[in-house]
Amino acid sequence: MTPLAEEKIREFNVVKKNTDKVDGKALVSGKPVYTDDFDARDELQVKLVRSPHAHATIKSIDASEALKIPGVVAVLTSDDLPRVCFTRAGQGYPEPSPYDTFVLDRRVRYVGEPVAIVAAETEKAATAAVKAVKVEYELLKAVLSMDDAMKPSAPTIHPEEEASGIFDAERNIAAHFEMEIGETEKILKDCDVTISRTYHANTQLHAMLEPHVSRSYLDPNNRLVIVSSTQVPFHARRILSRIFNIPISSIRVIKPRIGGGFGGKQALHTEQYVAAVTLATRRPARLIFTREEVSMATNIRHEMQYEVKIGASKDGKIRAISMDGVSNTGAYGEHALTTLMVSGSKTLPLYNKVEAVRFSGNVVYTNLPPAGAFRGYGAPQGLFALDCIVDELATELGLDPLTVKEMNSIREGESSPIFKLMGEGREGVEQIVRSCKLQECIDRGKELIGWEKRSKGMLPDSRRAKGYGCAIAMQGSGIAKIDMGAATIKMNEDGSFNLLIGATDIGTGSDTALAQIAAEVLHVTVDKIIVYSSDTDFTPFDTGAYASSTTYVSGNAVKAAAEKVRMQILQGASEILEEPLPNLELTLAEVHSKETGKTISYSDICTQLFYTFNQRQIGATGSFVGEESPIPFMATFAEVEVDMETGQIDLKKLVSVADCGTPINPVQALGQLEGGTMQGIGWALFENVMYSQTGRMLTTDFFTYKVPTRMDYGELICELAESYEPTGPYGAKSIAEIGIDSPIPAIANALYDATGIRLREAPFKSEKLLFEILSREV
Amino acid sequence: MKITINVNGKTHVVKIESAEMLLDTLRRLGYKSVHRSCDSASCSSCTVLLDGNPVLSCCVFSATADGRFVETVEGLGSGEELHPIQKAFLEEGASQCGYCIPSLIMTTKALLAVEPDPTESEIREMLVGNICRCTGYEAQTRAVKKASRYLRGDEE
Amino acid sequence: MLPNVKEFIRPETVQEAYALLEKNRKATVLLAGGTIVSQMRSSNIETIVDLRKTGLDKIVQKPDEIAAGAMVTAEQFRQDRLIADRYGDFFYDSFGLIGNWQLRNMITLGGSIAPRLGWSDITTCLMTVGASLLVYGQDDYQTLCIGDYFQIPSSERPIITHIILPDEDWRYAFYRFARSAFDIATLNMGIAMKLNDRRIVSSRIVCGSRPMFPARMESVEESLVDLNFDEQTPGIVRSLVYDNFSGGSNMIASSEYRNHLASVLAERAVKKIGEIIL
Ligand SMILES: Cc1cc2nc3c(=O)[nH]c(=O)nc-3n(C[C@H](O)[C@H](O)[C@H](O)COP(=O)(O)OP(=O)(O)OC[C@H]3O[C@@H](n4cnc5c(N)ncnc54)[C@H](O)[C@@H]3O)c2cc1C
Repeated sequence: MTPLAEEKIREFNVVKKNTDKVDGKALVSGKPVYTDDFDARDELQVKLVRSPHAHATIKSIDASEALKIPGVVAVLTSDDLPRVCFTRAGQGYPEPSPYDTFVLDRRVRYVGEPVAIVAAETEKAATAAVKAVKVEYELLKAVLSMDDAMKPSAPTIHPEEEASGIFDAERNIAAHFEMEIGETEKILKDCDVTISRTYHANTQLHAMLEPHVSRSYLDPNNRLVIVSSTQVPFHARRILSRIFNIPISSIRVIKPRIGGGFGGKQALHTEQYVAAVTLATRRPARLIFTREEVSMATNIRHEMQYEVKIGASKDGKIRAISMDGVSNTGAYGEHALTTLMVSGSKTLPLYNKVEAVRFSGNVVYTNLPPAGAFRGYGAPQGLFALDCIVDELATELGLDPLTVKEMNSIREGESSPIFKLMGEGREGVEQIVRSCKLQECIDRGKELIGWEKRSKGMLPDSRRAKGYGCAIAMQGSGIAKIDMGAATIKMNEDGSFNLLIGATDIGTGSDTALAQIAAEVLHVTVDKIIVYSSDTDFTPFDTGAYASSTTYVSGNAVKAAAEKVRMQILQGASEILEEPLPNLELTLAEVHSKETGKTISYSDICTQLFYTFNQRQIGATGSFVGEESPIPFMATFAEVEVDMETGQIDLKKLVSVADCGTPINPVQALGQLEGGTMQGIGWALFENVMYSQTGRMLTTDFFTYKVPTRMDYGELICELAESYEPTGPYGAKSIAEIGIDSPIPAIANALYDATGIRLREAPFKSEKLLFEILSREV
Repeated sequence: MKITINVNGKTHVVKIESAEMLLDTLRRLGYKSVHRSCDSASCSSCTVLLDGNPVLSCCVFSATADGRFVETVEGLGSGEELHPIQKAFLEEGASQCGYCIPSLIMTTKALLAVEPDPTESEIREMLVGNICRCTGYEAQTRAVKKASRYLRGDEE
Repeated sequence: MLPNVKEFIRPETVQEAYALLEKNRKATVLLAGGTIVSQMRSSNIETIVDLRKTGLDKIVQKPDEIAAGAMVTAEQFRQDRLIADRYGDFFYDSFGLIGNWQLRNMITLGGSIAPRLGWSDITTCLMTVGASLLVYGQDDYQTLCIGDYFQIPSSERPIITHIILPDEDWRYAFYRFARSAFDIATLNMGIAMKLNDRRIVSSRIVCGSRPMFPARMESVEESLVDLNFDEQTPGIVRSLVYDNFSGGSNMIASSEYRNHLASVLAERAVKKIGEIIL
């Protein structure tokens, strides 16, 4: 252990305890808390007319029949809307994603793209009107695969001249990145063993249970109010201001409880349409997506393919790695560059002892649904390739894969030049790994899966083969020097505190974790902290719920605000008690003098400061931006059984042990890890997005798109290997994304162990596996 | 048409459209715990108990519920006091976003009515339809077990 | 959601229901469990005829058969005592693989057969036990085998009132393969055998989710007649099924894969029957 991390792993009063979720009682009681649960008077129901074609220009739109339907109030087309090019991606500003999107355009680029907005008094009338709007299209050749996107014959998907930030629009390349440290090709040639493989991770749907929904209305002062199930209320406000050319001061975005996001609500999907209706009609409006719309017309995960080369010496020392990728961003370039970069920057530093490393990739446009942010944000696609090739390398060398991973991976106190070279959309920051319990994760994982005692091969009944696999992973905690969070705390005269945070709890439990941090600093129980989050009128700024940032970034902001308030409380007490500050200390909801033994309760302090003595409000705002992005680590182990006659894959057991620093709320941290892991399992085994030959997504519901159920796995064990991150709030790093990174490679490696067959395209399908088994038998 | 339904002990006489779904009627009546999600009868977020049996309210025509008894999570607990199942779910951290939780609690209630002490595999089998995208299901299994202990009086 | 429904009718007899259906077939839909009707989007439908009050929700023992009402739900059927006495765990286990608890509380036997779903495990299982249908239509009550029901043009198709389960002492096994725990079958296979001592007197080999409607593999059944049931039998059935399979491809699986699954599931089903008798 380096001295850096040794710092006080200490006992806390509130932190590291399983406090009930602050919103938990409302959730288990089924209280109306989600966007669609609030009824409104006089509200218009909004529906979108969508393109049945993957690529076409719109020749004409005839809404006359639709407008005749009783109750239909408005049909808006691109002619009625400002022609402002923007990106729906909710990211720091200026955004690294290209501006290539209009609220409505005269060209459609994927099946399901909106072409007109319908507003009616009832949902029924709106639905009927959608059918009645006549759109005449001129069909264009559609690009339906990454392979086709860059062919010279491919049509250009984004010829519009207003677009900006596209890397090479003519060749359908939304973004490109390359970097090299050392002379990769030369070293690869010089290695005892060099192998080259291609891995392909297909797309995935977020499948959050609450569909995208928003409501809008004008407040009595004619300000535009949007209530939305969003992960990024402040970005939403900024983007809406730009699109509709209204000042930020005239917009308020409110985030109520959110029914899951996973990145799928880190972009504007509904807000611009209700806003358009409310601005045009001056009436409240509501838009809730159907499941089909959620699936095919919001965002999906970037499909990525990597060609990887790796070289090592005989003893297993990895000397050089080269990764060459293509990523499919679909019709729009949301998060295109950044997800590509993350797939390298949050995987390659794991093997920081290489002599040379190269990473490059193109992100291409296709006429498929636009890809966007999704838990892991490129890292799982990259790790599938990287971890599996290390596994394959070990096999080639006749070494144990885990040993090779252990001997080459990054450790506490070490660094990687990649941290500086690859940020998100720009340069990163130099950093050393101040806390890393990767080895502890591996050791504990081995114990839990029974790694040393494992036996593989055919089981006694001779139809089933068993195998084990492992993978190691890393992620980040917020985007260094970009993600900023702020918190305001004010004190009330009963000794309670309002904690106002821009941080966006989308179900993760961040409101609770942040309340715990505040309570810890202020020396009160959590019930004294009243949390209000994500209302752009009432809470300070925060970039939003993404990039595993909230606990680390917003948590540090809360800590900073609470520390200021704590000083003010001491100051107030000092004035009232007439005792010098150094004599005073906080005990539970009280200030106590070490010298005189005098004690005054928070409630007394605040009551006096409000009403009778040196009157003022105790309160402060703190903010934080990470100078670094501390890395959580994880080891995952999978045990699989394969039915060699049907190819059926049975995940008997999966173990993930993660180092997230101090778990502020251990149950919630584990919940994030388990949930992420389950999404990874789903992606590895069941979640298969399919398209028709014309580019229409076929798997738009849960009847065809199989999200894992509670019977689709055997045993799932998640644990935390605690460390202390000195730059984190009470030692915390992050846990929100990392769980999803490693199930795919761990399962791929286990399948190989069981069957001797390497599947390099995820998800892994029984049918494919069976035919591989049969072709080998021939 | 008009129907009479009893929701959580309260009788409602409501005007409905002929092809209206129970999910919509209940939400219109203010039972917002009944959530719409999948549009394909495959996530169970809209589960309610109809004459005691868990069903998907998105597939039940309101007209067929005429004269019948519906239970939703709003009917559990009393005032500030949570029902033991709700308490167990809260304590075990079984909910993240919470969207699937009301339906899961109602299905659990029905399960514990027929099987007061379910094994882990019975819990998984009977609740398999209740899709949760956030949690990974483990905490929910622990919550159902805890709820069963509460209801049997094995744990306070 | 059916956008143009004007009437929701709850007749109390099958006769009444049939008359309502006959009034305007194109604009009328019968309602059983509702799991399919609720998903319909057709703008033609103006009348829903709910069968819930027609008294078709009981399972009764008749002299030579069991009659299960068309409105009996999958869960009710698998939990029924008469059915358990007659078939042991066959239906309890097989129907337990269908959908989930909520769906099984809703989906009915009649509603599962009538829409001619390829993937219906219910239909495959019922065909495996040799069930026939009692239907009510223009020729009054009539008994038909499941296949013949669909020969009747849809414009005249009667209402299924009961599923008739013959009294027979056969052995049954059912297997299904699906991509995940809650998925329709990629393929399902039901096998029934009548044995005299060890001699196979007769058999039913029913393959469903091919993805087409379940069908009996008659040529395989014929080849098995009079064979002695021994350790070789599962392997023989496997290769016969492999050679005689007819199925198709869809987004779930290719026909080659299904062909393979059919033979493997058939072998397993016959082995299971073997475990009961050998
Ligand atoms: C998500 C999901 C998964 C499923 N998975 C499976 C599975 O794995 N295996 C399986 O076997 N099933 C499965 N099912 C059930 C199956 O797909 C059908 O939904 C179900 O069998 C329909 O039954 P019902 O009683 O709800 O029919 P309804 O929706 O009420 O009716 C279906 C059709 O049958 C007609 N009909 C109904 N009753 C009669 C009658 N007595 N006479 C004549 N016509 C009638 C109706 O007019 C309608 O056209 C699944 C369903 C869903 C929604």
